[in-house]
Amino acid sequence: MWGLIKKDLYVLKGYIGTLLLFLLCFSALAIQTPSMLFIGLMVLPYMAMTVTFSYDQNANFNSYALTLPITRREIVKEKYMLLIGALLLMFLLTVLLTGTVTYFQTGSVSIMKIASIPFGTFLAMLSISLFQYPIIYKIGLEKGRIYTIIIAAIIAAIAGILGTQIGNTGMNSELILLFQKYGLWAIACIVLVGYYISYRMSVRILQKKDM
Amino acid sequence: MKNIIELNQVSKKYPTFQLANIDFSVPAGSIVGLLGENGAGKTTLIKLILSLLQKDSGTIQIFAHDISEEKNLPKEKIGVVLDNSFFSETLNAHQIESILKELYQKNWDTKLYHQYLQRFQIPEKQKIKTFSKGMKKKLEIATALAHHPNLLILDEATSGLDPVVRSEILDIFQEFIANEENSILISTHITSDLEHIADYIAVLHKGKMLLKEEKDTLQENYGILKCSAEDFEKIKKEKSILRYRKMPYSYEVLVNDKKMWKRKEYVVDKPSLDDLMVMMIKGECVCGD
Repeated sequence: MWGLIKKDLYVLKGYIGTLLLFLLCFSALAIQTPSMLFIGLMVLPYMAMTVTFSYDQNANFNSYALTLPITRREIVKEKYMLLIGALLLMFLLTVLLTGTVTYFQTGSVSIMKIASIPFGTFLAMLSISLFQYPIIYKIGLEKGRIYTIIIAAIIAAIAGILGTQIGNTGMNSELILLFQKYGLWAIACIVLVGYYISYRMSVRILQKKDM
Repeated sequence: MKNIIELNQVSKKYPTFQLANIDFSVPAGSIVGLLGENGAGKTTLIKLILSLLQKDSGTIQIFAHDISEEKNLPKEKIGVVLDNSFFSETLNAHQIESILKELYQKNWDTKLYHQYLQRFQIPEKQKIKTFSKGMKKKLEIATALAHHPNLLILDEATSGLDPVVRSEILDIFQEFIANEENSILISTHITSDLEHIADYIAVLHKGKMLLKEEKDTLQENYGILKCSAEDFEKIKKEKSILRYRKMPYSYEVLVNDKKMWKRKEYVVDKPSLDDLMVMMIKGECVCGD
């Protein structure tokens, strides 16, 4: 699997300019809203992984890869591992950077405060990917992208409707308190379990797929 | 002679195409050329052998392993060049080596890989997208050979290459089988390549294996008999007639017992593989198949 990770890193090396440009755009936005930089840093691994899927598809790499000592399971595992690894790395980097800057500015740091936005973005990126990756393995990147947008829109709509409904019922204060206390961890658990299920689904899809 | 690849009654069905009941083998120490026009099913057959496609029925054995399960395919022993399937063109030969070294581990031979790169004059640090088609193919062949495989599977590896590059590549293939243990399965529609190197010729047409024969047998026994319509009527029931084509003023008949027909004083020409392929594909069968 390390060979496949190397391959994706080499591919991304050739794409570094575009990724830096993307980061620059987010940095510009961060002048007004500093949290945009953190969001940008966290979106970067997701974007980079999508790029590797695109390059694989253009080169028809997966067919060739299966003639090498690699299994279909390893091909899928590499993408899932690399994404979560890169997101974790960016999360730590973001927290470290923010923590350092905040410490020098105020003399104290609240980890929960500085980590909440990057962690939320981390979960958001995983959530999108857990839907997107099985779709990519099933129908390819281009069509997969459209379906992912549709699914993301449906989830956002459901979340919006639920939020409004809760707001209208009057039991919001209790729920909000409960959510503030445990919500993020509950969501994190759900997303991680979902990510694992998504991985299993992708393996199954690729194992049945004619290459 | 043991077979390195053996297919028994292998079928694969698509909505518009079917590979039907294929029996096929690649004996150890030989080069088997798979001939057929575009869309005949050559790539499908190769992909089935490599477990890239899932067969509907039949059995496939490679190095005596049943490859119904992916893990049974002895990939370390196989070098593959596919048509339009390789690493991203943004990589270079050096990076590809670094990746393959990880994947093949102890089987990977860095020295041999660099020897091939030197021999093929492939720059190590230049991106593949700047290469000519011939250079790309040579790089693919170098990567297929550098882990000391015992079997090479090549899908259209020489298509689109100029004669000089093709000849260079064919030389490499002949060196590869020189130890009499290694084997090559090569699919192509360029028959002249196979005339040079193949030991066996298989002709695939619309998903059916029309012929599999030793090249020497083809050259010694097969012939194209030319005769009038009147003569054709007399001989058409003969068992050694495989196919015929009605030409404007005569008949061309593919026979598998050239000497017998010569003794009967018919004009029988030695067929090239091109002739053979055209006769097998375009010719009609007396039996009505």
